[in-house]
Amino acid sequence: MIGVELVKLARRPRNWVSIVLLCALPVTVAIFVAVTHLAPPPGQGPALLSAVLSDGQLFPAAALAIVLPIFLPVAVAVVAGDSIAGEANAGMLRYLLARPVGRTKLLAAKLVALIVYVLLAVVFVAVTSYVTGRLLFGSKPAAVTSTGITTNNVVATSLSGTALTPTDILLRTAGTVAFVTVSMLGVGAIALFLSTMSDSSLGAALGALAALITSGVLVALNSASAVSPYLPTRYWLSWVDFFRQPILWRDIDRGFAIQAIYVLVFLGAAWANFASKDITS
Amino acid sequence: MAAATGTLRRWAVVVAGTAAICALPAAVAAWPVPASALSAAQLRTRIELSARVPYQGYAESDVDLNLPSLPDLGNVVSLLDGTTDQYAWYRSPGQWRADVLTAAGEDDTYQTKVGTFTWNYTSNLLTQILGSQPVRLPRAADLLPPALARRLLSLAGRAASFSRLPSQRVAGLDAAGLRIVPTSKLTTVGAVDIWADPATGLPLQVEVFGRGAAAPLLVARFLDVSLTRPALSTVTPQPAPEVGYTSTELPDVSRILNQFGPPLPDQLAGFARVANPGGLADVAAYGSGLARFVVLPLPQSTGSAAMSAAKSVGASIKITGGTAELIQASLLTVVLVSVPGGLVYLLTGAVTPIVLDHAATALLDSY
Repeated sequence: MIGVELVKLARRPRNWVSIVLLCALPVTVAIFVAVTHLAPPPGQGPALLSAVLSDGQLFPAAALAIVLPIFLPVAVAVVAGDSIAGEANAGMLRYLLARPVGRTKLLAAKLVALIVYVLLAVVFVAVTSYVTGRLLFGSKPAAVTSTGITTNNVVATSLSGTALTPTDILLRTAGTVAFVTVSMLGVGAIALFLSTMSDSSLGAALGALAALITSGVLVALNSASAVSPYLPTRYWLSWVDFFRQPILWRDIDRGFAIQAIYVLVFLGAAWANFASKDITS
Repeated sequence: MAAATGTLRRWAVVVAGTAAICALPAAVAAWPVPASALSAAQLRTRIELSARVPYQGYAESDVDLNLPSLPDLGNVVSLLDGTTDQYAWYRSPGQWRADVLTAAGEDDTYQTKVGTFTWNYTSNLLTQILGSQPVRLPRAADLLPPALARRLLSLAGRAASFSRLPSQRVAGLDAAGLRIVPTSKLTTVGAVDIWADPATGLPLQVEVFGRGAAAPLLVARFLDVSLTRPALSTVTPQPAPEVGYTSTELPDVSRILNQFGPPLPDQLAGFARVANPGGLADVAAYGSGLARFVVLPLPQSTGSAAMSAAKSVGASIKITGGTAELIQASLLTVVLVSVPGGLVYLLTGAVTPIVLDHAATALLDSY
């Protein structure tokens, strides 16, 4: 069942189009920055974008910061919202369930396909932006500073002002990819649940996006600080803590935990609804 | 019928699970905290002696002093009128680091054995501050619960009553509470509540209330803390090769300020002058306990700008011999007064306006 869903995922052109569009946005930004040499000042604009002018190896992290607030969640909500509702809308759900396959298994297979899509999208953004960064911004040559520090193994500066080696950047970018991927699973779970409630993919995707917008507004509101730690978008930007020295794990850990809870709750709700739903289309 | 029962059962499982998850934080918060057997005096002593207790943690301060924006004081105003998140690593009074975290950067302060350093991501600059700082503006690290609690205890001195508060859990630790109520009616501070680890005395949460206020105007607390000693490398600046470096010698505050006007008197409107460690003749603190205010002369250009700003946000008050500008914030009172010769004095403290009114009058009289 999982294999079938993965094949469907791979054969659906719109999924690849959405990934290409996701990759295109950071590339566009990189071209403008490389041509004009005008990046936002440090501490402003997307995190780490200011640093890419001196070394392109940080561009994957900056690229994820660019797509994270809007484009990535929209893509995930659309794909997840289409999971069940799309099949129902196309009149395929009845035939899918006519096979000797339980609804729970179908739901699990849809979730796995969604996870693979999110991972693919995030990894593609990271890889294409790495190539773009190296091509457009290059990487730092080896040198020895006036204080005698050899920089042949230092390519960038952390937010704390310490040196980052290529290995540091690789590991921290890998951590960022994992964190951003997991951060999107909460959105995916909400959209998947709404997808079991409706035959309209668009309605499910918009419902999930409405939940995210509400969360974003509340996170920015001081008077809502009591509920802020429990909102799905609260820790989205905490990936930047990978680029501090030492790495601040507090919000990263909480980000992973809160997404796990959202996935658990909304997947449970999707299961409760879908397992006993009358399938008419 | 069976299908309907199955549906109900599934939803019941999901709703019960969700309710359990949602109730977990409230259940942890409501879990009884064992009372501490320490007396108020014992707890106070432990807090005062906690300066050598190492820790590392994430702290948040929320201050609502309702200060107007004043020239050259933008950073201080934002510190005293907003939320500041910082991570601190503390080995000893001479070795610590405090990072103010923002979404895409950080401002760090390092205290090392060779001096104080600041790191600013926005300017990509590590700055070594040379010389001691007998007088300085407030900085974020002053709002870390341990530093703030010990400073308030030191200020309160014996001119306050101390009592125990029920213990509560702060950042996962059981904390014993201490309430400080100033005996003087001349301070705007109604009470200061401190919660500290009873074993080490390390303050974990501080709340400052205005007189008669039900909600605190200043809350500084750890959201996460560990009483472990951070590594030396963590509290030592290790700049990357591309980081800019500069050192700045602190201006000789004594020489600068002491060139203005005559030395300030030992008594001002009946308030005795408090000895200050910097030995500055022209910067003085008066009063006792939390009913304390400072008087300092402002350089000509700063004085004129501050006076103009105060006129737009404050209120003019008539005092014998002239006029002064009064700014009344939630806890702080500020008075700016011009003395003959054009010099502007700034008087400020957590005291009632009448105190500074009398002090400004006495200051004018001394000319």
